[in-house]
Amino acid sequence: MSEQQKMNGGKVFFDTVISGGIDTVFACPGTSEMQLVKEIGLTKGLHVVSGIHENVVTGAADGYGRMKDRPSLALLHVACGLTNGMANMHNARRANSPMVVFVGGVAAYHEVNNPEHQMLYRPQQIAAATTDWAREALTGDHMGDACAEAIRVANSYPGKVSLVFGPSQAMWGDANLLPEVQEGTPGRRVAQSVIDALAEDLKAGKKTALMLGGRALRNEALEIAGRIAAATGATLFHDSLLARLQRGEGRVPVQKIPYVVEDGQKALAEFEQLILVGNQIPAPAFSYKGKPLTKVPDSCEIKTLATIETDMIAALTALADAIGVPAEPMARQERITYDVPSGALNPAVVDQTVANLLPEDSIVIDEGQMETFGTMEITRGARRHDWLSGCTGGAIGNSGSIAVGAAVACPDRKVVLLSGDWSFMQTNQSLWTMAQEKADICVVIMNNKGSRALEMELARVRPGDATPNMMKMLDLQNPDIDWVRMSEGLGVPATTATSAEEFYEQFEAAMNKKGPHLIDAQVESMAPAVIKMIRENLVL
Amino acid sequence: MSISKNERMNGAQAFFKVLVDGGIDTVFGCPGTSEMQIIEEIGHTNLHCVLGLQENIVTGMADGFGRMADKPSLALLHVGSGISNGLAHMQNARRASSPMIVFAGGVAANHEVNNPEHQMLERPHKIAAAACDWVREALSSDLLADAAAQALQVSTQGPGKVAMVFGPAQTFWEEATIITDPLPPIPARRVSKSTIDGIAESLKAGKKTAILLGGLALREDALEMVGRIAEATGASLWHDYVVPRWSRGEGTVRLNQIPYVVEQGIAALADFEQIILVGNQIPIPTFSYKGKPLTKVPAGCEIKTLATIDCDILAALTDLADVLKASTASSDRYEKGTFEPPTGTLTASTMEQSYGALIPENAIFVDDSQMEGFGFVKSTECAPRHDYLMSCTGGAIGSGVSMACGAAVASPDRKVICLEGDFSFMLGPQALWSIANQNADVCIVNYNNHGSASLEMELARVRPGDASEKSMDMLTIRKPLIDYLQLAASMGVKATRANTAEEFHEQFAAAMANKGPHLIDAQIESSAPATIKLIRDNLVL
Repeated sequence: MSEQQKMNGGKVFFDTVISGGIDTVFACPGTSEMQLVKEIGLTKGLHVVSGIHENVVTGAADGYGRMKDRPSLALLHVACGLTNGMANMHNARRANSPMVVFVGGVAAYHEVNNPEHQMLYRPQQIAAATTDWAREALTGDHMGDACAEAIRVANSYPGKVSLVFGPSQAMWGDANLLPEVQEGTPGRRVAQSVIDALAEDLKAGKKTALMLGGRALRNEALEIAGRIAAATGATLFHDSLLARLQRGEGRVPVQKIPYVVEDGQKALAEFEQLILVGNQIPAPAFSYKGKPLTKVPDSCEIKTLATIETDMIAALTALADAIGVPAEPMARQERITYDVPSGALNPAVVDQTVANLLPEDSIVIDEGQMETFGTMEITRGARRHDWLSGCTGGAIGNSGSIAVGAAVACPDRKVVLLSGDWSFMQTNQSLWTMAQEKADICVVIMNNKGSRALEMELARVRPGDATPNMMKMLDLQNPDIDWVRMSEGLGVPATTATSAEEFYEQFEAAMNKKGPHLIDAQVESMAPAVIKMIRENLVL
Repeated sequence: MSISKNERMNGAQAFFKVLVDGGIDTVFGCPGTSEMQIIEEIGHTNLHCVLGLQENIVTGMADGFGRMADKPSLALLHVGSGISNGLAHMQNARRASSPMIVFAGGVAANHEVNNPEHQMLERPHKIAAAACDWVREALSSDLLADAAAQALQVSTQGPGKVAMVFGPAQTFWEEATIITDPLPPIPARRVSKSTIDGIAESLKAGKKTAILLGGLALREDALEMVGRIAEATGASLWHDYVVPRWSRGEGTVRLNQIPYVVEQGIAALADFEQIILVGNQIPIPTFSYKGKPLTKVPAGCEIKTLATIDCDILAALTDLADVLKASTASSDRYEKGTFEPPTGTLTASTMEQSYGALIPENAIFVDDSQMEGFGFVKSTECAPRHDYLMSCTGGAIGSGVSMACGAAVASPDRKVICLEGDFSFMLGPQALWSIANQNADVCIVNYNNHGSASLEMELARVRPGDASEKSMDMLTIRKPLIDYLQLAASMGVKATRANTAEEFHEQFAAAMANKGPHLIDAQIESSAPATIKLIRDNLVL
């Protein structure tokens, strides 16, 4: 490299980012990242989106990765920034979202002078809990090298979370090397012997569930799975939380295994075998005293066609070939519309409104918790859309940020977010980024004034009613949150709906205009019915 | 003691029995599914429960509580994600030596194998180790109660520690067979006579000496004692820029501040031949800069330690004063100040005038104002007596508002004033809801300079010339501007906006005259240009 082109680690890092095909940065930088902020300012071809909390940054990178199938860069500040963003990195990793995370730190030689300050150093050790791959870059040249490998890992099928930690001396240190970015590792192939055995199992006439996850929930894979179902009578299922499902009118329908463990057991009760296709064994996220640990009945055999990292199209195609399948899937979803709802505003009204009005190729993000337990069923015949679950890793409150990332990734598609009020408060800062990006997002707050999901979970551990001291920890009623003012305070126009008619009108208006809008939907909660069911099944 | 047949209890009940018997009376919480058994048990106690809507709010409140109450509260979190969400402010608390017990629940241990990809629900104590002094996983209901007793002991060691217990769900619902009595407190470490004598000798040697105070050395009794030492030896007394809690104001012993910016810190200490550390580490810049020194200590200046943060600092200072026969109280004290009501353009300095003129006796300042607050300590030194708490002791900004809430819960009869930068504020705005929920007597002053002047200063360190618009977009909150009045009102806190020094003075006076939460959105003229000029004049690229 000639003298005029002399580079430092920060510059090489961004040159590698650009040559590796990354064009979007979500960022919440701090002091130790200023060298990178300077380089970003000088780099052409980077779209920079600011988040005012780290979980906004990592949540947006998750939404972006799920919709683009390629990584963005999430820029964070030392270990405190990393831990602030780690919950949504965890959601991303569980959704197999491709993402490259960069965390800066103080210069390595500063460490000995500040021995009590360990949260400024070595964040990659903390990050190991939620990343697929993490590396510390110790010199300017390492910065480019680590960046190239991080991009390769992130691009590995079906998507990985990789992390580079760069202490300051690596950012300002001289660099000569500009590495090439290699292709990600492709999806693994399944051995023919496994395919043949599963084909036999499917032809044996046993009542079979195909448990689809990961890339098996994309349209192309669903078409093949639908044809396997047509040939064998197998039933297609997806888990209650999923990364991205292509569904709606014209698509191959897939049934949901409900979130609640008792409901999940019921849904799978009749099956003799369950074949995993990119999904783990369906299990409740949490454990309950005296309750089963999975949703699969004891009598049902579990077999695996493909793990999440298996090339799903190849595996399903090979299986279809071994079985011999018809040209058409077992079913295609027909359009279903509802009478314009009136009267009280309850979750079903929201669902019917969405089913009627959702535009074609929109993106639905679901973090309505208990209030959207029935939404997939009612909206199954909506115009075709992509469905993304929030909190795939169990960390609530990421859906506003996912919506930001999805809207940045797909600026021509409408994003509809259904979020619980309690969940949304975890990271309400995402509203500001929506306003900054003028993102085309309609946020629907399923406002039941607290966490009815936790009220349900509390009902699991006691007979009788909750005391006021218990409800203090689950309610958002003292004070009530004024969602319109919060949203407007952060730059997003907002309205309140208290009846079915008002909600329908406001949602329709939001579908007919571009840009962010929030609807505070004051819903009648589904909690009493669900809590009744829990009580009837109580084991103490 | 073992449990008799007629008082059978489960692990959760035993856990709370140990904590309540050990003096815990306050719980800050943000629970999830796996903690419902714990919530059930809390419902049967008289514990004061405060909900935070994000985990850093919970740990920030517990930090503010611990610093003011000098005893731990319980911070209740949910699995690994909850721990990581609350870890930044746990780090601030740990660096401030705040006493705090953190509890996080998880799924039952036998569930782990069924959900192998879900490791953030399990073993969060491994993540937490980075920001805790002590961590234990309880694997049975008896060990849960046992861990509570140990956490109580650890959290009250020295000025305070962050102790964490992780309990998988089966430990809550399984039967407990023993309950431990409270463990004896661990006494603070004493400094040996030979160290005291050695320090006394070096103080008498006539060298120009700075005594650098931290931790409990910044409380009134210790300040009086070190004031005598200064009076006897001519040593000058200093505190670091970042302080956990300092009892100061009119009539207290005068201290000098080591400034935050490394160049200014070095200039401040340039004349000294020796520095004696009393509960503080070597003064250093928090971050590292290309070509800049790694500490604020001038070359050739010797460093000696009288006491670390965990030592019995009052005893060490008393012993040293005895050896030095230093019995005359300090004559160098902050005198009663005169603070005229300010007029004109609203700046940090006019606001400091208002504080001096209007704060009541025994107020508590929580400072998360970052660069705009650089002048606060100096200009309010003669204000009525107050406690001063700097929030981001561990470098994690944004804990000010939640700390203010925790301080108000700990000290309900004292006015709390929170100085918050607008950028920092946005890392934890949910704390407003808890403040409204508690009707806490907190006045939040939002230093609104539309972004991070501190980061603008730090950016100036890495380049000559002006910052590009793209870079500045990452450091500012201008697109769109945030309406803090609406944000505050949306979470139940009434708020007003001040555009001039007069408006601020009037609004602050009203807030001081009334009880309960209030936010003033202070639209200030930023002090960034002056500091950036200083950085530029000293640039090393």
